[in-house]
Amino acid sequence: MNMNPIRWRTFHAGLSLVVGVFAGAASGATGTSDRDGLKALVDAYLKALGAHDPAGLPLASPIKFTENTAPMPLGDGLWLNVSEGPTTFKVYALDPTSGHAGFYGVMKELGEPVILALRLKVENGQITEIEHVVARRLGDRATPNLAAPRPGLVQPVPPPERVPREEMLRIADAYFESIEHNNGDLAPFADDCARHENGVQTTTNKPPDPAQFGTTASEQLRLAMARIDACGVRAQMSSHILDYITRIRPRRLLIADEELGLVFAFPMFVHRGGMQTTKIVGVPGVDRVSRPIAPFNLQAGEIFKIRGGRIHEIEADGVVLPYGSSTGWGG
Amino acid sequence: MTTRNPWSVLGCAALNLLIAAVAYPAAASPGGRCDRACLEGWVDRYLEAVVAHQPARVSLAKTVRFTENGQRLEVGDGLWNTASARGSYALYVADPEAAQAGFFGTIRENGKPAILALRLRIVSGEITEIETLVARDEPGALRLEKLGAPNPVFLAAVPAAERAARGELIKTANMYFTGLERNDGRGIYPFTPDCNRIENGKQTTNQPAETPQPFDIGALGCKAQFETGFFRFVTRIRDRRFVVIDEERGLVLAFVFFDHAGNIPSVTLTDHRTVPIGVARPWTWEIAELFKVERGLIRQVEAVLQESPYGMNSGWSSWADGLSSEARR
Repeated sequence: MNMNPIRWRTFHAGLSLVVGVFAGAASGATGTSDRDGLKALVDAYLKALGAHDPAGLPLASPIKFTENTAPMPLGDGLWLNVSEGPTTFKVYALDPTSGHAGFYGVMKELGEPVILALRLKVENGQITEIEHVVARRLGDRATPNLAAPRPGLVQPVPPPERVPREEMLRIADAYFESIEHNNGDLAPFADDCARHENGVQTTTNKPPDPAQFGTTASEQLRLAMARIDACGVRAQMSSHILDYITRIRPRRLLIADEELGLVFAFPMFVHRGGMQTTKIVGVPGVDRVSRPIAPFNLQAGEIFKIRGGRIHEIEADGVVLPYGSSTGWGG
Repeated sequence: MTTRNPWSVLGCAALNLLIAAVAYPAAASPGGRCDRACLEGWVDRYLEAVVAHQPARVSLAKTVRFTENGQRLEVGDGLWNTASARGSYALYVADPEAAQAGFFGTIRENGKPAILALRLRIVSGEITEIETLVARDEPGALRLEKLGAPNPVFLAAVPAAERAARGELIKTANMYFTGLERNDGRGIYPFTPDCNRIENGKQTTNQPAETPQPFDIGALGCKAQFETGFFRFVTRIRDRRFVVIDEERGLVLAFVFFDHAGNIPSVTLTDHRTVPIGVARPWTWEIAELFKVERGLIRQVEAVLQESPYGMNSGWSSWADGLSSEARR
């Protein structure tokens, strides 16, 4: 059996190429750093990506581009094979303060669905940094969740429920603290908070039916994990199931969209590896989880919806990397 | 799946290491050069230290550089945390001139079988470079152990009169990568008629599929495979580092990346048949590949492969060299 502990499952949804915004609309020196300008720049980028041609984009020279942490020439990686741009699953996170535009969406690569977490850094009307975190080989369990984003991810936060930018960043950082310390009380999770990872819902699921699981050790581990995935976010954090995550560094909380209440981070999850033998806390029917963990890293693109000072939605994609991998952006 | 008792493996490994320690003293052989036995002894002591999770058991230069799967780590991290025993498969490559040792073998990681490719550089009685590729491929590791021992071809000395210079050995091995990259079936492919290739313990030549296939690349020999033009989907073989050259045995060990841009959905073979390529995404193999060269021809190929992020660097190359298809030492 596969004992890989990675909770990052895969998903898919169908989309078609976005059209309309042309690169020139985003390339003017004025207006590119406000919300509308940043959004137009994202749309221009996605259009160029779909056309496999970055030539019309307002690019700084030199331009730095990474995909899944590897620096590569612009035009390589996802640029080679996009067959349909994003249509219905599109989340923008726009941050004029830091000069960042973020996008999280579903598109197709040679007909296969992929998730793109995109970060564009914009200075003086030009794109200076481009970062892709592309999750491929998505699984069937994700399919229903990728037709469209959860409404909370795209709805503006009513002004009375908005929190200042620095507080938003602190709240998102508290999520990572919560993981590192196995303590769900360290972050302000709303009761309705649920997490999707590579499209798969990994918290607040329907409790499993034990009759659907076999008696072998691997089946019983699968049952235990299903019970843990039925927990709410706060309870799951406190269960200690995530104690195989050695640290989350760097966390790169780079984008804060105060209007939409979104923090878009690019955290590196580091897993030292070893034999995980964990006493599980507070999950009925699960006493202990024991499994070998190989060393690995995981680069994520992770969005937090913060409304009224609480985290309501968590949406992340992630790619498994060799242990010790750096982000490609220093650290 | 057969499961070995890790303790019995550890016991065997410990015994082997004890013998090795007696037979191969750490010091260089007379004349100051670390010969084959000396280099193999370094490999054994290194692996003993890894399994014991004790870097202090082996002499390391203060400036030692260590990578695992392309990432620079502190010595003591990565596999040092998780290795639980050596496995039974071991294939050594010795390069006394460059003071480098190569090794393919099986290990246990938290009891789980895996494959290790290793390169050590020794300077003045200390390890200065440690390059490792850990292929976490349990079936592959078990296949290697089922082989029982490395192909004897890799252990046999080339008659002195037939030995090739280092540059010639590298040139021949590099023709393998040049022929494979964007393979068109029309290149010069220097293989002996009896050449075979093993990848993560699996023979991938002259090995027909269990069920008949319309196009069975694995049923063909080394040269015939290249002559089909099938491997066109390997779009870039980059960062070609020919690092351990065993002139006495005619061996070349290279570390490379095979990039697949993912944009070649099908290939038209040299016989005009078209076959689909199943992978439609950019993906990369990080590979340690060993060649046996005889009289300018490749006779046997053995590789350790692990999928890596598309475009990743080896940790031993500049960005430009890492993307280059030029051969380097």
